[in-house]
Amino acid sequence: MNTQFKKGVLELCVLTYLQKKDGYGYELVTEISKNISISEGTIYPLLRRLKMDGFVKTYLRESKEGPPRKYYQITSKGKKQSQRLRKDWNEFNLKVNILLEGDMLE
Amino acid sequence: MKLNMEKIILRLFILMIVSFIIGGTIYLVTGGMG
Amino acid sequence: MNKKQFLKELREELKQLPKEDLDSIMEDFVEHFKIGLSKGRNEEEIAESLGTPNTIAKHAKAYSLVRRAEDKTSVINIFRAIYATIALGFFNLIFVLGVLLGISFLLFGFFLASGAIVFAGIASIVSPFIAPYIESISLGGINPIAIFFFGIGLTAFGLLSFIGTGYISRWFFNIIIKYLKMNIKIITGEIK
Repeated sequence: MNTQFKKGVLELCVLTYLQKKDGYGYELVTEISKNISISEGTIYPLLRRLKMDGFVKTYLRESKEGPPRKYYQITSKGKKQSQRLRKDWNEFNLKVNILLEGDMLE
Repeated sequence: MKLNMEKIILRLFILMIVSFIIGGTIYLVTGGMG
Repeated sequence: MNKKQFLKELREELKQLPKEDLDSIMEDFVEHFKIGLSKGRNEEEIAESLGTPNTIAKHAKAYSLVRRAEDKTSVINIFRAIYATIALGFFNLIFVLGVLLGISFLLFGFFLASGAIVFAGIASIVSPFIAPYIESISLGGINPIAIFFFGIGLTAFGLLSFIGTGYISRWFFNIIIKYLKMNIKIITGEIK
C-alpha cells in the first residue's frame, strides 16, 4: 500500500478506535497493526501529532500488570475530525468502486 | 496574443510546405543539376 | 536489535527535534518496551515489529517540521517540511526526479536541434548567393534556386519545431507545478 495513502487512513483508524473507548499506546499500536501492515513504531509519532492538533488527549492510569500507562482519549474536536475523515473515506471508496466497475464492464 | 501566435504558426507552416514544393519541383525538373 | 540498541538509534535519529518532542516520543517507546516485556515478549521481537528507527524518525520529523512551518512560516521551514515529507516517499522522489531530468534534457535537445535546423535553413538560403564568390562553398551540383527554396522551407520548419518545443515545455512545466501542488496539499492536509 502506498505510504501517503496509508498515513491518511491511519489517522482515521486511530480516531475511530478511540471513539469506541480509550486506549493506551501499546494497545492501540498492536490492535491497529493487526489489520494494516505498518511498522508499529510509526503510530507513536502519529499519536503525538494528534495530541498536538487537539484531536486526542492523554492521561496516566496505574496498571496492575506493570508500569503506569499513558492513555489516549478522543476529544470532541477529534470526533469531528473522525467524522470528516470517514466521510472522505466513504466518498473515496465510492468513487473508486465506480471506476473499477466501469473499467471491468469494458 | 493567442490569435497572433496561431496566425504566425499557420503562415510558417504554409511557407514551409510551399517552399519545399517549389524547391523540390525545381530540383526534379532540373534533373538535380544546375 | 535489542532494546538498548533500538532506543539508542532512535534517540540518535531524532536528535534534531525539539526537546519536548524528542523526550515525549522516547517516553512512548520506553513504555512500549516495558509493557511488551511484561507481556512476555522478548526485546528483539518487539524491536522488529516496531520497525526501523530510521522510518519512525522520518515520520516524526515530517510531522514536527510541518508544525514548525506552521508556527514560523518562513521559507526555510516550508522547504524543510517539504523535504521531510518527500523523504518519507524517498523512492518516489528519485523516480520522479529521474524522469523530470530526462525529459528536461530531451526538451533542451529539441530546442538545440530546432536552432540547428534554422541555422541550416538560413545557410541554405544564403549559399546560392555567396557560393560564386567563396570558393569553399559548393552547392553540390544542385540547382541554386532549389536550394534557395529548400532553405526557406527548412528555416520555416526549424522555427515551427522551436515553437512546438516551447509549447511542450510550457505544458510540461504546468504538469510539474500541478504535481508539486498535490504534494503540498498532502502536507497541509496533515496539519488539519
